[in-house]
Amino acid sequence: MEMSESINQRIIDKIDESAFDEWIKGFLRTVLLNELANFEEGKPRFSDEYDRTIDQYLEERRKSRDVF
Amino acid sequence: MYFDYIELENFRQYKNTKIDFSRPEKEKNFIVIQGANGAGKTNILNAVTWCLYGEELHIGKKYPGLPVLNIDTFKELGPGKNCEVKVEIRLVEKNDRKIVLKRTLNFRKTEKGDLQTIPDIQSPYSDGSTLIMMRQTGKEWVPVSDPRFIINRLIPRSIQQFFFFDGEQLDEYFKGTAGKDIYEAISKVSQIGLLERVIEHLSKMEDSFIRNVKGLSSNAEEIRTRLETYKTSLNSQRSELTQKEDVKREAEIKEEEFSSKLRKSSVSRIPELEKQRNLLKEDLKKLESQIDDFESQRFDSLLKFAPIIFSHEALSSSRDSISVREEAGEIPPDYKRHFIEQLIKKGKCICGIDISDEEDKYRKEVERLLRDCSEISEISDEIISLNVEIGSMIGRIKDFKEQQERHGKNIKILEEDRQQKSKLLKQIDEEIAGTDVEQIKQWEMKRLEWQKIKEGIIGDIGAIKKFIERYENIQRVSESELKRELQKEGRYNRILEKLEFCKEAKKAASEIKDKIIADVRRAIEEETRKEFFGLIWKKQTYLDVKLDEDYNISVLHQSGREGIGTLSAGERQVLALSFMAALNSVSGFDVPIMIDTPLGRLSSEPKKNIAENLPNYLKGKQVSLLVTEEEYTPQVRERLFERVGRSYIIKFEEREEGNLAEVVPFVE
Repeated sequence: MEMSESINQRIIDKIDESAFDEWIKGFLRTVLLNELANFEEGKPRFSDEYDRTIDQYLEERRKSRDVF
Repeated sequence: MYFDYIELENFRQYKNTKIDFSRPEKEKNFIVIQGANGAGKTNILNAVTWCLYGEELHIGKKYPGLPVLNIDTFKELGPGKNCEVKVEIRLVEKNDRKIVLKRTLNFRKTEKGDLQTIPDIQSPYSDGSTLIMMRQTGKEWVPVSDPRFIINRLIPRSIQQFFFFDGEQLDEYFKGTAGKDIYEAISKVSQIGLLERVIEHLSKMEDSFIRNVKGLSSNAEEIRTRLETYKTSLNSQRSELTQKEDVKREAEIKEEEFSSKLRKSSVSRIPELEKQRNLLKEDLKKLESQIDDFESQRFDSLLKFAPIIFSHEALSSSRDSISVREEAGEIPPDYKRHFIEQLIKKGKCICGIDISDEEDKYRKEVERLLRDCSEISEISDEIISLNVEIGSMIGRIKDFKEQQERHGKNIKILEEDRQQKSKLLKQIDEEIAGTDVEQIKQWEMKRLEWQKIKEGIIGDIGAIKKFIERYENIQRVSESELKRELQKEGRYNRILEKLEFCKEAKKAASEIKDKIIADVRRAIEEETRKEFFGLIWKKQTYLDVKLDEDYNISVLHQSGREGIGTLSAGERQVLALSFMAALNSVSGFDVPIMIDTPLGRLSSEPKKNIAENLPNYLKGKQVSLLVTEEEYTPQVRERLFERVGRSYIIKFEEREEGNLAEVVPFVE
C-alpha cells in the first residue's frame, strides 16, 4: 500500500519549506526513510545508523563550507 | 478505497450470503441495504469489523457471549464434525489494486452435541480466528505477511467508529477517549509517529554523545553527572505524567458514564437536574477561566508598573529637588557656553576689558568659566530631560490605578457569579444525592467518586508539569555549561559538533511535527464546521464548532455555552456525520463508509435535509446505508435515488431459536 512505502508528502513539504540548512533537511529525509524501513521490519537498533548518518551529513556540510 | 464484495458464511443469521458492493457507475456511490429491526443489519457491520479486527464492535445486548456460528449450520452438523465461519471482504484501492481479507473461525460439535471452538493456536486474536490477506500484484495474488499492520494503516482500529457507524450508538462518539484515539490515528496515518521516533532517537543520541565523553576535568564531570540525574528525574516524571493523564481520562469517562445514566433515568426531575448540573459545570469552567484571565492581566500590569511603584518615593523627591533648583534659577544655568565662546573669539569681555592676549589673567578667568559652564550645561540638560521623564512616569501610576480597579471590578463580578453558581451546583448535588431512589443514589455516589479522583489527579498533573518545566530549564542551563567546559578542553570539538547537529535536527523535526499536527487539526476543524452548518437545520442555534489540541470536539451554543451536552440525538448525529466527513477528506483516510440506521433518530424534516446533503459531502466515497423501512421513506429514497448504485433487502425468517437471513437485490 502506498502510504506504508514512502514518507508522507506533507512531511517532505514541511522539511523543504523549513528554514534549516540543506544538510539538516537531507539528514531528516534519510533518517525518516530509515525509520520507516525499521518500523516495518521492527529493528530495534538505531544508534549506529544515526551515528553514521550524522557523520555523513556533517562531512558534506564541512566540505561545502570549505569550498566557499 | 471501496468494498467490492462481502461474503458471509455461517456468520450469525447469515448462512451463505454474498453482497456485491461494486459500483455500476462512479457517481452511484451509495449502497442501500434495507431490513426490519432485528433482521440482521447491524450484523453486516459486525461482519466487517470482525473480518478487519477480529472483533464484533457493534454487538448489542442480544448477542454477547453467543458464538458467531450460524444456528442452522450447528444443528445440521453431525457429532464429531467440524465447520467454519467465514467472512471475506474484497477491497479495491484507488489504483484499482485489489485486496482480499478472509477471516475464519472453526467449530466442532462434540459427541455429546455441545459446541466447541477450535482456535488457531497461532492466532493473535482473542477469539482464536485466522486472518489471511492477499494483495493483487499484476495478475498474481500475493499473501501479506502482517495483515494486522496493513489494516491498521488503512483503517486504524481506534477510529473505525467514524467510518463504520452505528446510528443508535452515537452518544458514545464524543466521550473522553475519542480525542486521544483520533489524535493517535491521525498521527499514524500522517506518519507523525515517524517524526516522534526521530525526535526520540536524536534525544538518545545526544545522551550517548555526552556519556561517551571520557577523561573530563572535574568541573565538566560534575556537570555531566548532574545532567544525567536531571534527565533520569525528567524521564520518570514524564512517564508518571502519562500514567496520571490516563487515569484522569478514565475518570472522565466513568464520570460521564454515570452522568449519562442520570440524564437518561426515568426518575422524575433527575434528568433535568443532571442537565442543569452539566450546564452549570460548563459555566463554572468558563467563569474560572475568565477570572484566571483577569488575574493574569492584573498581575502583568503589576509587573509592568512595579519599577515605577517601588521607586515612586525616589521619583517624587527627585522631582521636588529639581523644582527647588529651577525656582532658584540654578537650572538651567544663567549663562550659555556659546555666549562665553563668542567673548573669547572677539577678545573682549562683557565688561569691556580686552582679553585677546592668551596669557592675560582675565582671559584665563573667562576660559575657566567656559570649562565649568560646559559641565553645568550638560548636567542641566540631562536634569531637564530627566524631569520630563519623571513627570511622565509619575503620571503613568494613574493608568496603573485605573487598570487595577478595572480588573478588580471585573474579577469581583465574575467571582460573585461563580459563587452563586457554585451554590446552585451544590444544591443540585444534594438534591440528586438525597433522592429516595436507590439506583440514582448509587449512580450519583459513583459519579462523585470518579469526579473526586479526577480532581485529585488534575492537581497532581499540574504539579508534575511544573516540575518538568522547571527541570527542563535547569537541564538547558547545565547543557550550556557543559558545552562551555567541553569547548575549554578543546579535545571534544568533534563530539560537540555532532551534539550540535543532533540538537538542530531535533529542533527541525519537532517544529515540522508541530506544524503538521496544527495544520491537520485546523483543517479538520474547518471542514467539520463547514459540514455541520451545511447539514444542521437550526442554523442560528449554534455559533461555532471547535476542535481542541487534543482533538476533542466542542460546539458553541448561541448562549455562549459549550453546547455538546445540549445537542439532541439528531444534532449529535449530524455532528458525528460532519466530523466523519472531515476526517475522511483531510486526514488521508480513504475508507468506505458504512452507516447503520443513519436516519433513525431524526424527525422528518432533518431526515430530508440530510438525505439531500449527504451525497454532496461524501462525494467520491463509497457509502453503505443499513436502513429500516421507516427510515428509508419515499422522500429520502427520492433524494438519494440518483446516487444509489445497488439496493438490497434483508429477507429473514424469524424463529424461536434464532433468525435466518439473506441479502437479496431489492426490486421495487
